[in-house]
Amino acid sequence: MSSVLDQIKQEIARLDTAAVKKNTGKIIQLADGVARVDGLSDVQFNELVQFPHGIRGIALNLEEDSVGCVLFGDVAKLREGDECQTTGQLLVVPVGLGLLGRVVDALGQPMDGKGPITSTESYPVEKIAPGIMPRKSVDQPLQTGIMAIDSMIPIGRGQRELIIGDRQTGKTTIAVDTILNQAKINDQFVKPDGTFPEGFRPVYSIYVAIGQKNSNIARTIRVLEEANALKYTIIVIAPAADNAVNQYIAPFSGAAIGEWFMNNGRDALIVYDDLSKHAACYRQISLILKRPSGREAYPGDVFYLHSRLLERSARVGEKYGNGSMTALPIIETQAGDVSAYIPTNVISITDGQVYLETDLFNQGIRPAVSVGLSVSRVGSAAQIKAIKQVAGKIKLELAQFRELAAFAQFGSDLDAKTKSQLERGGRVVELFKQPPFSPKPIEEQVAVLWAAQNGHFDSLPTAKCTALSLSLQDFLRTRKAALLTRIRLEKALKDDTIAELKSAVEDWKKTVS
Amino acid sequence: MAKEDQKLRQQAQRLASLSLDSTGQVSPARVSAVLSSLAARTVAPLKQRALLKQYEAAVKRELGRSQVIIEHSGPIADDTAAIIAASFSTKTGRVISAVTKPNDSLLAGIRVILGDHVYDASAKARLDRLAAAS
Repeated sequence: MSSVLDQIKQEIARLDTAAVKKNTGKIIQLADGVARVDGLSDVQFNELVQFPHGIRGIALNLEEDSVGCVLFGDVAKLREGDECQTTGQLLVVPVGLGLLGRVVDALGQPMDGKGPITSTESYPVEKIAPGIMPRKSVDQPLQTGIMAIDSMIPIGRGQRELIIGDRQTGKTTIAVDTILNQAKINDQFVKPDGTFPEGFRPVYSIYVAIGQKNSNIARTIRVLEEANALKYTIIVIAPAADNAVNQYIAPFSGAAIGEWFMNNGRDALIVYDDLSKHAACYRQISLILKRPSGREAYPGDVFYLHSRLLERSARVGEKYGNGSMTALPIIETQAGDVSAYIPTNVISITDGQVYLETDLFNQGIRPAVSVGLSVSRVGSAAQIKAIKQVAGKIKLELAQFRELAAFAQFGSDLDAKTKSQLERGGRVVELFKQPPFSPKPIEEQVAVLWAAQNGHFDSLPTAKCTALSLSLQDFLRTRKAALLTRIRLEKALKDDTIAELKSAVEDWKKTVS
Repeated sequence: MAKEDQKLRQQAQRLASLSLDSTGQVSPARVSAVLSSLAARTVAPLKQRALLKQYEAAVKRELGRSQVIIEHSGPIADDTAAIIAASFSTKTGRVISAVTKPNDSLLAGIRVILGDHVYDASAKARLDRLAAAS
């Protein structure tokens, strides 16, 4: 008994016996996850504040005689008059490989019932983006597996490509397809011991769900699980039922998790689904904090909110970690209005956008990528040569086709050239149709596009082109696997590869005619 | 609304500074004078109430800055409070008075409160740290 007491005494003696200085405050107002605190004269902006019952908050408003804190956790336990104190710390989240395959909340706490997170490192949620010197130009491709995007709007590692469109146009599907494709590519190269061969850079994905319905999040997780892609993915959730503060902080937590990969020589892909809801949460917090409101009642710093988040995505040089973080933010438009406040903000921040049109979606053209309004400002430098060879002019041709198709509706007499252009365009549109959650490997995309560009689909019925392209892929996969491997490894179409591809496509045509 | 709040706060701050004497201490006589002058005004009761609440908060802050509260568990020597007050007066450069307050929840030791700064040398704080460390 006495030894136990001695042990406790020793432990007490080991502690610093000096008086501890604390800076405290008292809650004078509490509403909607925001506390106004009297005191805390030493608090710093964005500092973590400790409240009773283990509740934490962040000091966001430093005013002359009070401090506005946003709160995490069960706010109902707090009362006016409760004491809080500064911590001298910033909000941090666990980071590292231990998070792969896990579903965590905005603070990095597990939400999947798979036990505690095995992570020894943590990163601050708010961090200044890499400056000019650490950055490297974007020149490595990040293949989405979606033919329309990889051929016409290519994305590079470290790029920020916005996915924008109305509700129910397939924005999340594009993001999830991209995650699935990364897992598929990683699986192609992974060794039995879980490592990757030298020179291959796997891409790890982070999916941040902000203000999404729990049912939608569950569906996304199920898709990733079924495709065996969850082992390369981290899911950060702040569903619609969460308080606004968690939804506000979730993308920043996701960015911190992604930065660990970037700083440790790895490549990460982060999807923010979606930033429209994120802006709405920030508006809610700002209005409760009584910050002056501007256009559409958003606070004046809503641009900075998204610019500081998206600037954290970059490709950094060897001295600075030699990794990358590619961002795919999602924005939901209202009735196709891309000129609204938040869409224009994020369009101007990102390096391009994939615009999804409701009309195309309803016509059955899925993914409903609008070729005219979509652009990638840096991705073409990251495109592999093989894709450039077969898809160099495809965007222009498709845009011309759309224009001609609109014009052709008014007249019946068309010259032969226009007719052939329309037919070719119609076939390309069909070829670009792709079912959800079935990303195409880049070598199969090259083969299909090469066949289309060289008129191998011209004699086939337009309506059947989607099915025929799947049949061609199947044929190549089962009978010409070596050719596909060659295209994948060489990353370019050499004369002998083209000859082999030609003979393979002709063989396939015999099977379908 | 926010502008009105700010105006009220500034007004209350001005009144609080009028309530200080030449040594920078809150003077009861000056506070009474401020209150009677406010009572003489013909202002809507709601507005008057809001201003008085802001004034109360400002005076409380001033009092907090010039008064050190020494919470203790068990007996405290007479001169300890005076020594602590003198030490804080030197540190802050203003006259600081001391008030002692028994607090058995501290178990042992003392806790000194000056404004929103708390200097905790109690057994309870040490045990709390021990609990947090384990």
